[in-house]
Amino acid sequence: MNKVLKITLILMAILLCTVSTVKAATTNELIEKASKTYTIAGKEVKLSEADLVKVKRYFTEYPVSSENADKIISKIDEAVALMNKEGVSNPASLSKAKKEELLNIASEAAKLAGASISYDATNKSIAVYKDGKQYDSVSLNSYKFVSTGANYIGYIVTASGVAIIAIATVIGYRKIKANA
Amino acid sequence: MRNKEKKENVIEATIKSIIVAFLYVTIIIGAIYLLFSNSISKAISLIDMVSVETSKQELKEVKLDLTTKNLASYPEYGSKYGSLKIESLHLDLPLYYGDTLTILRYGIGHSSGSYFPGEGGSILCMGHNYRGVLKTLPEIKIGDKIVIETSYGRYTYQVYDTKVVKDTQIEEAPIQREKEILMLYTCYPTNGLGHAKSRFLTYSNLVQEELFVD
Repeated sequence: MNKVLKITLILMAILLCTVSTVKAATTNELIEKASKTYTIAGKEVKLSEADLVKVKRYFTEYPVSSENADKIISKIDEAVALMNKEGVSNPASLSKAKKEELLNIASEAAKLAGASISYDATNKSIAVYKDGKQYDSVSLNSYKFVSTGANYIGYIVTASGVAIIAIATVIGYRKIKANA
Repeated sequence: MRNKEKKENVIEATIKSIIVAFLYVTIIIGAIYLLFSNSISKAISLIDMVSVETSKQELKEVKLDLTTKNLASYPEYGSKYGSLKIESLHLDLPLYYGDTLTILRYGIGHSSGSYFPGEGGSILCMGHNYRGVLKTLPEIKIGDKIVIETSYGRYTYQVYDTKVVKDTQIEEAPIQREKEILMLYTCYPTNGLGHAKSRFLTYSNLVQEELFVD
């Protein structure tokens, strides 16, 4: 091969290798993004260590493609933007419509990660599913310890209320009958 | 006019009936509580016992990767993956992965937001304050041992501290990966009727690790 052509080809190969491409996110970068502190509605907000353990465990077990990692990062930014637009740092303070919007963003992010989510009314949490089975649960009360005791006050108050109504009815009925 | 008077009389009579009924009920509840409080506690304990269901779930096989110190395969959420024993309290309870209210009906829950035995970090477990679960946890002493047995190993922890904390003080159960610490809690006090605002929390260091090698 012509010497000039060879040198040109080698130079082109070197150039191609050094041309900067758009760097796609890796799973580690995704985890880093989830670990960051965000300023939302003037407050510094970040995932708790407990929730970070869940995120790291999932992405270690089920790494995502760079393309999907980028898209998930976009979803995180979308969620943060929504909260900032509404001026709230706690999702519980959002209107019903905005909560649904936030849940949709989270659902889309979960889908990109190969999972699905749904609201678990019984346990007041977001259930995460992978391959048709529950993988994890994210409590909406993650700021407090799980309740590990029974509450009988509700039953006592209800029973007392029923008893008061019953006794009042009997007394009232007898009085009306006596005055008739 | 007479109709209006009649109406007012009926309203007055109704209000008086409700007040009398309220007084009757208050006196009756007070008397029952004073005379039968012991029996009520026993009855509540019985209700608690039947509230904790016995799961027929088999123990899920789980493996530890000794190189990475991570589990090679995690148990299915909500599945039984081990047992938790406290000899000093005569407790031998099934250990489940997960901490939803549904899971806690079956035994001890393990927060998925914490590490597993053998992974070298914080392990956060909890159970109901029912008889047969963790009602007697406040009787645990410093130096007592808690043993977690799984399909991949037996881990012995020794209690070095206990404290009563508020239900919102989750910073008292820090999640970290520098040292393996078992934190076990239940609602406190354990004989209350209403929603417990406190938790009895124990802290234990890993003192012995026995791996079950294939």
